[in-house]
Amino acid sequence: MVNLVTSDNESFTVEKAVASRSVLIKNMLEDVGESDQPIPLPNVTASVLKKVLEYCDHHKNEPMPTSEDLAAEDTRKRTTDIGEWDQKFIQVDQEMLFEIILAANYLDIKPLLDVGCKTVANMIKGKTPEEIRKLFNIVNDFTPEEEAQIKKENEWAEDR
Amino acid sequence: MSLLSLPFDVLSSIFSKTPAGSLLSLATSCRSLRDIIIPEFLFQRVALATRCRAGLDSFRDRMRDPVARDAVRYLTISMNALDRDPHAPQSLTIIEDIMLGLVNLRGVRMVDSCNCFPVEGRIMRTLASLPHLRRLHISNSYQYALESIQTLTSLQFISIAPSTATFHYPAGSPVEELLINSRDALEEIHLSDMELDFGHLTWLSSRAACGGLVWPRVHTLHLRVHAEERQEVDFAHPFPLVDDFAFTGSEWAKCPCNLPFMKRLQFFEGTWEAMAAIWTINTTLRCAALCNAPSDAICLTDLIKHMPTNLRDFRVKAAGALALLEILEQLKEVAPHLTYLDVTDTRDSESLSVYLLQCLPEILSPLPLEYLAVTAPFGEIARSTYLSALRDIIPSLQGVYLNSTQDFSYWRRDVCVRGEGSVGSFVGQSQMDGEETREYYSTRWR
Repeated sequence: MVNLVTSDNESFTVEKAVASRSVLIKNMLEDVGESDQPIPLPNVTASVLKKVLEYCDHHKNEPMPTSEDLAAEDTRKRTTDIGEWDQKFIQVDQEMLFEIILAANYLDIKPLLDVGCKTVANMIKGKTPEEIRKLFNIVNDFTPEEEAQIKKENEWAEDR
Repeated sequence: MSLLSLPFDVLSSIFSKTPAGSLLSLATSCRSLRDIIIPEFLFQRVALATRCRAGLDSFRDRMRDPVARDAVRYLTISMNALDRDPHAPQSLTIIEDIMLGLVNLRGVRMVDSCNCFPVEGRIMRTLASLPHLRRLHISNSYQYALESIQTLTSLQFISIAPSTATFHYPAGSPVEELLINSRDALEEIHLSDMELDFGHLTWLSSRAACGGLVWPRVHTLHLRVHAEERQEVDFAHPFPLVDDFAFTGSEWAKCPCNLPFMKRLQFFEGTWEAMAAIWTINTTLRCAALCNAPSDAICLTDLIKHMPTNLRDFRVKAAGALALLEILEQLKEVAPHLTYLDVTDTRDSESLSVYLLQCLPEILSPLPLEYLAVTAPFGEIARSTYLSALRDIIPSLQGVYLNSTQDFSYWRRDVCVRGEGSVGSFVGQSQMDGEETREYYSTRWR
């Protein structure tokens, strides 16, 4: 078992197989060897870590992605589809979604980061600039002329 | 927390998954996003159509900016109806101009090619001058247009479909030269629509005088049998790493030298004769695609009996709905982990096809299926009734593709409305989204 301590000082005890989905934690465990020392995670809060560990637990028996899979991501499997469990898992409010993405990035859990990024990409897909502003709470700092100019210059860009 | 507070690496990953039109919307929402997205991300993956002159012109103007030009990595060119387009010469000159400046171009995809040699020849000559080209995808190509690219040595991925389905590619053809020249780099070869003389190529491979040609990095090899398939075609020596193989021949599977090759495969698509040989020695195969189910009942029973228990993905074409049902009925016994199933009825009988559709939910219900694709001449059916049967009986099912040979539709279970105690419903998908979902489930085990 591994003991993890969050930024708000909560401690989680989890199986090694679950914690090791995080490449960061896996490397730490390998470096320190057998030890009961708790691992501090100063960039993750308890509410986010709880969610991240739920993901790690569900996927603990799957093979770790190889570096080849990750390199191929760019070209071979460029789909934004997400499996059913992951899709339900990631149905959270936007604040939590971004927190999960940040945690996955910090803890180095590539498949979870991928699910998070796909979810954001799917939220953007097919929307107008106005819809996007509303979605992400963005303030429009363009003049109408500037906005028209960007569109005109990039007439070639379509969702094909 | 806002989108813009995410680290650059994360934003980069999000942007590379967003199609160009939506990315432009995002860039038009505020200055900070514009400054990140334009020029770099917007230009990574570009799709152009010769039909759309305004698009071509605006893109050419943007390419005057060197930062944008250097950002282009992947280019898709659609040349739909170029041979009937009076402005074709100008469009083509624009595309050539654009391509010559794209020094960082990694991949080119030519779709809806025009089947017109002079046009393709010009584009190919331009391609041959691109130093970083790694991926090349050409559909409907004219054989001799390929001559100028045969000297490329750095291709990792090639997919070429000829303009005529049964076109012969004799020994010494440009495609063969291309395969030989790029052999140290190639990882994926998709040539299942052309009859390349593979016997000749592997014969070259076996001869020490030719240095025993080997393709050391190829993992995916999709080929079509040549009219004169030689019995001694040896795939094991030239392709030591292949685990994803598609081939329409059967004789090769009888050759003892191919045993280690057959044992290693994770995915195989081919005839039932070759499939039977593989199933008896390879228990780890995860995906199998059968192009012709045997019509003889004894052969069929014997074949299905050897199906690897671990199979996750099964695709089958059979002549007639009854033959298909015969196979499908046994799946729950022989392949209990199946998550992807693709069935095609190649015979033209509407009433039997409708019967097949009606039987499917019940027959497949014990399987943990996630995706079902059905191609059969079922004509007009009440899709909603059918889909709700599938939805209720197979709770694991996420996506369905229905192709009646006259039209097709993609469906996906909507998990957003799927609360406690509700099974959700199947909603129609656009072709683009539907293809993406299907791609996701059909490549899960590869």
